[in-house]
Parts: sequence; structure tokens; C-alpha cells
Amino acid sequence: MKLLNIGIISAIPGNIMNLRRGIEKASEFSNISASVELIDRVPKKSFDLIFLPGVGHFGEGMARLRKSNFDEFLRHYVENGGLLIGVCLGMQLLFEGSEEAPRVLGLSLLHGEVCKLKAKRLPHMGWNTVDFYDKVFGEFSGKYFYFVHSYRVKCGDGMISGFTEYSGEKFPSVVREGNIVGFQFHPEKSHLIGLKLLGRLFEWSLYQL
Amino acid sequence: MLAKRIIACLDVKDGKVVKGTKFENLKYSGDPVELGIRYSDEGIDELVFLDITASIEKRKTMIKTVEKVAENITIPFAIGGGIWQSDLAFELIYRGADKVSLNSGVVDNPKLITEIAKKFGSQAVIVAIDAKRTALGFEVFTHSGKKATGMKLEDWVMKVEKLGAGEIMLTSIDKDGTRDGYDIEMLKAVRKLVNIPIIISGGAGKKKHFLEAFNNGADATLAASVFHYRKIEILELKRYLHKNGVFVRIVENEGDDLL
Repeated sequence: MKLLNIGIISAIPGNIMNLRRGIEKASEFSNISASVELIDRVPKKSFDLIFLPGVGHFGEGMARLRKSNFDEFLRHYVENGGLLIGVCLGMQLLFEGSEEAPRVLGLSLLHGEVCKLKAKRLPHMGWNTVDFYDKVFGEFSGKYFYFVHSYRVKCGDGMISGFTEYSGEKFPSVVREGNIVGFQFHPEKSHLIGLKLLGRLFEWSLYQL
Repeated sequence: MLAKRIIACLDVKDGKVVKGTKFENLKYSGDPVELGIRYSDEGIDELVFLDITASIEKRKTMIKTVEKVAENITIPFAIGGGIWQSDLAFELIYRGADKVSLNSGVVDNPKLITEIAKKFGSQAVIVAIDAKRTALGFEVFTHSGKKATGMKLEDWVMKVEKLGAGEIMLTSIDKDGTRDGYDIEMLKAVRKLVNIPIIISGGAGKKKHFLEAFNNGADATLAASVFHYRKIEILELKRYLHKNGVFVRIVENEGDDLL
């Protein structure tokens, strides 16, 4: 059976150790063997799947990625067919820019912008459901995942894989286009269903390779 | 829609859970991780570990608890119980805690709230407030409810929100341990004044107490003994709340195939 070579970018602050443990558990559960490595600088070796986690400020996250040349690395990586998964702020960084840091250019790997949620009570924190419009994750429709964020993505319908609603506002909580996937919630904090979702993602990944 | 949360609180002393040693038909070691996993599998939404160790080893035991919990538990959790310095709070978050719960003792050092919120975001800071009825109205107490502060609850909640608290964990000393319901009057008084989530604590004994709290503006309800002693089953509680119109996350056989 093929081994998935997974890298987790650790150059920006994020839920890195938790994500690593989540990925390892998910691979155990789904019987897909994976090797997981943290990458804090542009790697020389190749990976099948790279996670970009992140919490905190969009501007700060981009500054750190740029400083360590991850912006260019990720562009080449994706152009060459590498699979990239953004989680939380990591999902937002995939887009062109954010209201949180008006003059900062995002990774621009996906078309769209990030803006602040309209709700009075922020961050949107806790368990919320996702409605999936994507057969890859269809079995997870209506399930609860754990969210912590104040900003949301605005993008074309074509790449939206799942929606979530908070305080009357519907926003894309999962996007998927080509070899890129973004999760606004934290699968690694979403109990067994989160691990199951990661397992599904690995199956999808194997299919892409 | 965002689900209302049910939170279980575990008191941990020298690395062992203090309450909850009476599980029937179960070998139970008092291991906080074991109990935490069990609660997560039963569908609890969040866990709070309160370290009540009172020795010089406290710092070490807290960090160890957080590490063990983070390694094994895949739902969000908070740690609290005597976090007085920002460096300890930072360390606990770095080691995997999603949130820290600051004691009522933060009354003496309110800038701790801001320091943590600035570094990790306000969602990482729960401010625990103990209050009871006195001549002042609702008065804030510290030192496990023994020391009066002379401060009105209403003033303090608005201040902590302004300082950057992400949530308030509100415990009514009058109700704590009574099992005859949360302090709805106190909850309403605070709900009017702050916008951040309120976790109500103290007094849960029956399922309807949880419903009352949610119907009166609580975002989350916290309980300890009713879960420890299995007076209330989490899944049953959630089904009851759902039936009564509260939006809750019901985990039923979800991922059983993984276990």
C-alpha cells in the first residue's frame, strides 16, 4: 500500500502538535499509512500532501511565510500537482487578501478575499454544522465540527465544498479546487468525526496521486 | 447554527481526578485522561481541568496534565486553577491547552487577561467569576468564595470583557453544590451587560436546570458531579435539550466504527 508523505508547515503559529496527532490518529483509523513531518523551512524533499495550519493574524501569518520563502515554494508545489490543505487561518491565507490586513497580499493560490464575519459576537467559537455540496465529503453533511475564527472567505461558488451558518450569515467552511482544499474549522479538534474527515481526505489524496 | 455547549469540569489534584471515583462496573484509576476520553466519546463538547494541587509541584503537574490531555483528547479543553502568571498561561497553551481559565484571583492582576488575549486571541481566555448575594447586591469573591472583594459583579463582568476576556465562567456561590438549579437571576443580570459567551456553573442537578440556563441566555453550561456520578447521562441530556428546542450537538454512534 502506498505511503502518504505528509508535511505540516510549522513556520507560522498554529495548532501544529494537535494537528500532527490528529493526522497520525486518522491514518491509524483509516488504515492509510502516513509519515508526518513538521517543516519549518522550505524542504528539499518532496511531499504528497502538505498541511498549512495557522491561527492568529493574516498579516503576521503571511509575513512569516514570505520571510521563509514558503510563498514561492507553495506556488511551485501546487503548480507541480502537490496537494495542499489549509486549516483555519491556513485556509484564509490561500486566498488573495484579507480585510484583517488590507495591504497584504495572500498566497493567491485561490481566487477570493477574506472578510470579517458580520455577527456581533466574535469569534465564532464552538461546534457548528457543515452542509457539504461535494461528493468527496458528502457523508459528513450535517455533522458538527469545531470552529474558532472571526474572518471568513468570500469566493466563487464553484470551489465551495461546504457551507456553515453563523448568526444568520452563510459562509464557505470548506473549499476545494484542483489539488487545494481548505477547512475553516479544526478537524483535529472535532473528535472522531474530525479524524474520520481527515481519513476521507487521505483517501481522496491517494486517488489524486 | 452554532450549538450550545455542555462542559464537564474535572478537579485534578496531584495528577488524579478528585471527584468521580464511584463508577460502577468499571475499573477507574482516577486518570484525568481516561475520564476525559470517556466524556468526549459520550458527546461532551468541551472539558475544563481545574488543578487544585496545593504544593510547590503544582506548576509541573499542571503542565503534565495538559500534555497528557492534548496527546489523547480530540475536543477543545481548558485548564485552570491558580494561573497567576502570564508565562505559565503561555506555556500551558503552547503545550496544547485551547484555553486557560483564570481564577477569580485575577481580580488582583487584571492585566493578565489582556496579555493572554493579545498573544493568543480572546477565545483562549476564560475568566472564572465567583459571586454571591451580599449587601452590595451580587458581590465578587475570591479564594474559593472565602474572600469578599467589595466589587460588584456587574462592574467586574464589564471590565473583564473590555480587558479581552473571551468567555465568562460564572459560578454562583449561593447555588454551588446545591443541585437545585443554576442561578438564573445572576445569569440574567450578567447577560444584559456583556456580549461574550457565558458559561454558567454551580447548581446543576436535573436536566431541566440545563434547559433553564439555555433559555435564559447561557451559551454553555458546566457541571461536574452530576456527570461524574452519572446522575445525568450526557447523550440523554442532549436529546432532552434538543427535544425542547435547544440547538445542541448530538453525537450518536458517530465514528463508532473507529473505536
